[in-house]
Amino acid sequence: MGHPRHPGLEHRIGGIEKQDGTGNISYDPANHERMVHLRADKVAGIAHDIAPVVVHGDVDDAELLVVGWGSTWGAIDGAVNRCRAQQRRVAHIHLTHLNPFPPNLGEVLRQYPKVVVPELNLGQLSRVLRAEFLVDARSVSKVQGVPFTAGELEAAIIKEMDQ
Amino acid sequence: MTDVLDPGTTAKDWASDQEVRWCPGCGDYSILKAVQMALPELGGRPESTVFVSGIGCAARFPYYMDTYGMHSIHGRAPAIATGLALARPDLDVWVVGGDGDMLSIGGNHLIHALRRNVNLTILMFNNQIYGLTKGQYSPTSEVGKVTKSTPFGSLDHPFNPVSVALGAEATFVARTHDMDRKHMIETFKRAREHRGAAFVEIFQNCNVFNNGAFETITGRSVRDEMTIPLVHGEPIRFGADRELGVALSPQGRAHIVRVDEVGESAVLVHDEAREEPGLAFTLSRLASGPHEPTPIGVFRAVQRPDYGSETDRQLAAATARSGPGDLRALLHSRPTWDVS
Repeated sequence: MGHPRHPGLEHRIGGIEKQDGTGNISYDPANHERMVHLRADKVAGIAHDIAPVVVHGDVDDAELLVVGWGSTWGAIDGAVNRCRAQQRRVAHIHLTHLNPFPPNLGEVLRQYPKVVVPELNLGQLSRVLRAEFLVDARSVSKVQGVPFTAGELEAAIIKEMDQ
Repeated sequence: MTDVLDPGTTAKDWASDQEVRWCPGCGDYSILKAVQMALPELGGRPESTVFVSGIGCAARFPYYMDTYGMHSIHGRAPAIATGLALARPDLDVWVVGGDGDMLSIGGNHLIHALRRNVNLTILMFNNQIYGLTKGQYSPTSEVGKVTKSTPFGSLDHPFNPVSVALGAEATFVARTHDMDRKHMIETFKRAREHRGAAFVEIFQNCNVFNNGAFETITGRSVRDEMTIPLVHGEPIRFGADRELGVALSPQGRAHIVRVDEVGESAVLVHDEAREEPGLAFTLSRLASGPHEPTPIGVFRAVQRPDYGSETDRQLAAATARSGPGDLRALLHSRPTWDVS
């Protein structure tokens, strides 16, 4: 790709749909569809460049996997440790990439009988996981403007395991 | 590279091979042509020139220039161009947009680029309407204007773009119109040659959604009586026989006089280089809309250090004091924690 001061490679970038290959503006319907797929594939391809998700806790024999993302890490980590201290077999993954997901996420989710997704919202991630991977991910939701406590999540995990 | 004499460029060298998609009869065509004709005279090179635009009809402009270009975010062209001008002072950076893009969505970005005096040439196509979205009132639409979004007439007091630019203390402020190619070319050249932020308002006819908005002043039959050419160092006179002029009242208001009644010496002599922007502002208030004699030309052209030179100077001083920076080291200099 040419950069300014490079003669002969002058070009324009912008948001109007471009022709595949030339980058010129294109109003061709078939080209538009091809470009939409191209961009979706590009985003999906990022999965090759991000680290596979790493499981913590009872990696091999957990009965329940907790999936978290963002600022809930501390409360989840505390809750998982408390459960494990009670001889509960629990594992934890924490996502840093939501689109695309890490390449091994589906495989990891299907490895554990139960999946719990604590979120400080109405369960958006849990729904995406269910839609993308067809797993029975259960949402633990809280929207009070204050964070989860480890005790709350400990109770939620144990309740889910005992069901 | 071998040492060869720059063969220069022609207007054709600045036109891209893309089909121009404006409505037939749009004033944008003549502005595009005038820019393509002005650039060869300025001696620049297409590969060293960048056009940045926001969103709107005018914002399609970069596609039609065979230069580097960016059709960017609504209203944000001045901000993106500021970054480019600071990072690459070797480039000739132009900003193109309309009255909605630059005065409504991007009103903030525009005034801050102007007050900072970023080295940019800013062309604002003013057609007093949102054309791309098919005819809603814009920040320059006149009071009472009936549009799709003002079915009972606009209640909004419009911006006068030249007044806005002068209020932001822009160092170069000019106005031209799409019916006068020669005037446009001269104005664009002056703007480009100005060091710092140059703002040019171009009266532009939107023949589909606001046809004839400026006809009462730019039409050939009325132009002599209705436009007031501002020429540095010359008395401000107009009319077919230059029988009219602009004088200052004792209260400091600009008003139109008959030269034979007040005498040549009472006519205001235009001084674009006046440090204090008050008089230029007064001139910008002479017409309250395109139905009264309206000044065109360069209102203000003063020198003030441009932003890029100032940031370069500050950076050089800081580097001399503390050594070259290391962004990576800085980002890792405080405790951070990984979610793992």
